[in-house]
Amino acid sequence: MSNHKVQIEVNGKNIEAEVSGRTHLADFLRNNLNLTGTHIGCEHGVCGCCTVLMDEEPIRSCIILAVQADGHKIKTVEGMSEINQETGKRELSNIQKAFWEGHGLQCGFCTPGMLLTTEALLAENPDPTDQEIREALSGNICRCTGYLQIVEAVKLAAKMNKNSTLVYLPEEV
Amino acid sequence: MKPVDFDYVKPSDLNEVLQTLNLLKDKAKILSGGQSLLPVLNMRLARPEVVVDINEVKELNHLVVENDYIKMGAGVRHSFAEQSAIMKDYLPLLAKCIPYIGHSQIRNRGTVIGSIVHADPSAEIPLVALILDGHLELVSEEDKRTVPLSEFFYGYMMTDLQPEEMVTSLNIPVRSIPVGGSRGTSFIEMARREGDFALVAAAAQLEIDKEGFIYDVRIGLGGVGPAPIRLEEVENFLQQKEPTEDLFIEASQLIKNYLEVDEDPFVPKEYREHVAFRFVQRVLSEALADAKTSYERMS
Ligand SMILES: Cc1cc2nc3c(=O)[nH]c(=O)nc-3n(C[C@H](O)[C@H](O)[C@H](O)COP(=O)(O)OP(=O)(O)OC[C@H]3O[C@@H](n4cnc5c(N)ncnc54)[C@H](O)[C@@H]3O)c2cc1C
Ligand code: FES
Ligand code: FES
Repeated sequence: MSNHKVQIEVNGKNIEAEVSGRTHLADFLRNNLNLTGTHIGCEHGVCGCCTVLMDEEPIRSCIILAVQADGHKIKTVEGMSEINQETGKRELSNIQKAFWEGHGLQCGFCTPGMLLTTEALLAENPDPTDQEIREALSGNICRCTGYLQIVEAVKLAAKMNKNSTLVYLPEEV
Repeated sequence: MKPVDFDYVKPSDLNEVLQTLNLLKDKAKILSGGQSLLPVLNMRLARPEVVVDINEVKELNHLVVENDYIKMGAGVRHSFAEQSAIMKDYLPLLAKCIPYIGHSQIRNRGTVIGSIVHADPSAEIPLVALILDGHLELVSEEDKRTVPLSEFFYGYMMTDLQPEEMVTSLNIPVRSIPVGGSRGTSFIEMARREGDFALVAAAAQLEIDKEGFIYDVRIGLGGVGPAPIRLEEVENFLQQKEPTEDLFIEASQLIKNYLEVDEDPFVPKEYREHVAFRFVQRVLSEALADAKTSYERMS
């Protein structure tokens, strides 16, 4: 019943909007901002495919109200690509390239959540072991890959972050 | 799966929260980390008229040592408690159980006190807070009371919390390690997948005196009844004895007499009983091993 004015920084852009109290963040991102890269699977906190970063920390966007993000920074999968300083072109991030290169996805439904959880993991722990990767991704369910290529992709991303010459196609998106 | 329409309010001080609760009673629901409430709202298992967000109430964010108690405010999130040095130094058992709660995404939002109020019978924190003699500060507009964890849980997800009340703090007494002795802790659980709620959880804290005898022991089980249980018979049996594997096996037999595991459609009763029985022994052995290594570290 109640409506609220919110100011949220989404992928670096300041967004001002009005939301109803009961709208959760995943719905707000998808329906109000058209950022449909954030997927909704279970809608009760179990599957992890709605994972976004709030103030750099991974959270489930289906179990936080949009109005609770007021004054905070949100990053979705749409905000992961970066401008290459040398070419000036927009490119996938290393993590995205590594998932592409390492076949870390099949249907792609879980992928946005996997990518953002990985981003938070590598920011905190640039060189994780297999065990640490599996532990970090334990809250993200994938029904296709069997996880093996996902773990490999995360390791590849860690390598690419350290060695900038390890650049894979595609260059442009 | 969307919540029913409700009014959302975000008071910035405690009095305002308490006034709202007093006015609306069970028409209102407190929103803390939201990691249990939002799923419940999405599934429409709860239909509050007003949701009272307490995340802006800054006076609830304390995690301090005060008058021989560790005091944790309602704003303390799992991830914050997990990394806090106070927790590792004073309450290693609580620090050890936190990684078992859900996943990192859940721990980044969920709160220690929210987990106690939600009162899932297999939740980690209620079990550990119970065996460490924790108590809660419950506050309403007109009253203030403290309730020990041992009197807080009534049954499956039912507690002593009244609709006009909120929990402001969890307080756990600081215990000093016996002179010349050591302390060890252990937490183990069995879940279907990493991060799922436990089928059975066990926690123990063991203090050994300088002669090598058991000076104090606390042990409890989660997931085997409508609320976490403290195994007082086991504790009494072990008191002052010399800790050995055989003694722990004997101690674990004691629970057979009174363990009443609920039947559920997914897990056979016998399985839960068997795991509980093995866990009592294992959690004691691991706590003893931990006490030995911490003794070596000190000497
Ligand atoms: C996928 C998933 C897995 C999980 N796994 C586990 C697990 O393994 N173990 C576990 O213990 N938990 C688990 N949880 C739950 C999680 O730990 C929650 O964080 C916790 O149970 C509730 O804390 P919260 O702060 O999120 O509370 P909320 O969801 O905000 O509130 C829960 C309930 O407590 C009430 N409440 C909250 N704070 C107060 C207060 N200060 N005073 C009065 N009432 C209050 C609310 O009104 C509500 O009824 C899981 C959750 C998910 C989604
Ligand atoms: S859709 Fe949010 S966790 Fe499944
Ligand atoms: S790629 Fe299909 S669910 Fe993960």
